[in-house]
Amino acid sequence: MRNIVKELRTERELSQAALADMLEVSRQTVNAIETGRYDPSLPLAFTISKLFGMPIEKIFFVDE
Amino acid sequence: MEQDKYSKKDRADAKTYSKELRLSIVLYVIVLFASIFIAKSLEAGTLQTLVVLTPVLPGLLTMRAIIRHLNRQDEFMRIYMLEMIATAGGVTAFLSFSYGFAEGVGFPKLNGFVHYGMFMATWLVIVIIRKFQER
Repeated sequence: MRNIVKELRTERELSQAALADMLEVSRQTVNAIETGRYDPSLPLAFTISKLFGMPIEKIFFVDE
Repeated sequence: MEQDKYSKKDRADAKTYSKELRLSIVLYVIVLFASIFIAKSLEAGTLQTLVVLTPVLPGLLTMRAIIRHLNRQDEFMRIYMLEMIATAGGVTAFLSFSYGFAEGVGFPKLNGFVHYGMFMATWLVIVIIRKFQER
């Protein structure tokens, strides 16, 4: 899976820690998602989607 | 933008964990020394055994602090931490199994507590390696 979480975060001039605060997760979790080391669970993916105001499939997609 | 190393949740979790862990360790040390002191003045028997076992009670508080810390973590951190603990367990099993062969050719028989120390040391080494890899 790939995602554009980093792009969305930097567009909004948020640090990883600031995004982590908004999602109520650890900064390491945000880092792991952004670097593709971790695919979030559905509840967390929904929270991310809601936060950025975009559908999940626009944020997370299968790496072709 | 990326200068913050920890989120508010990271800091709050670490603070609570540190507080609970330190309290349990202080209690453990106090109860340990008190139990050793009291046990010396007792005759060998059930009461003495119960007294020397009392440090396990604050030891349970340490275990509680660790479990509560794990439960406070988000999904990724929980997997991340448990993965390190599991790896430490695997490495410990491998090392102790390997040493078993050495014992067969005359190496000294080790106390069972060595395994616990080995596990903790391995866990620490794995945590350091992971932190180093992620820098």
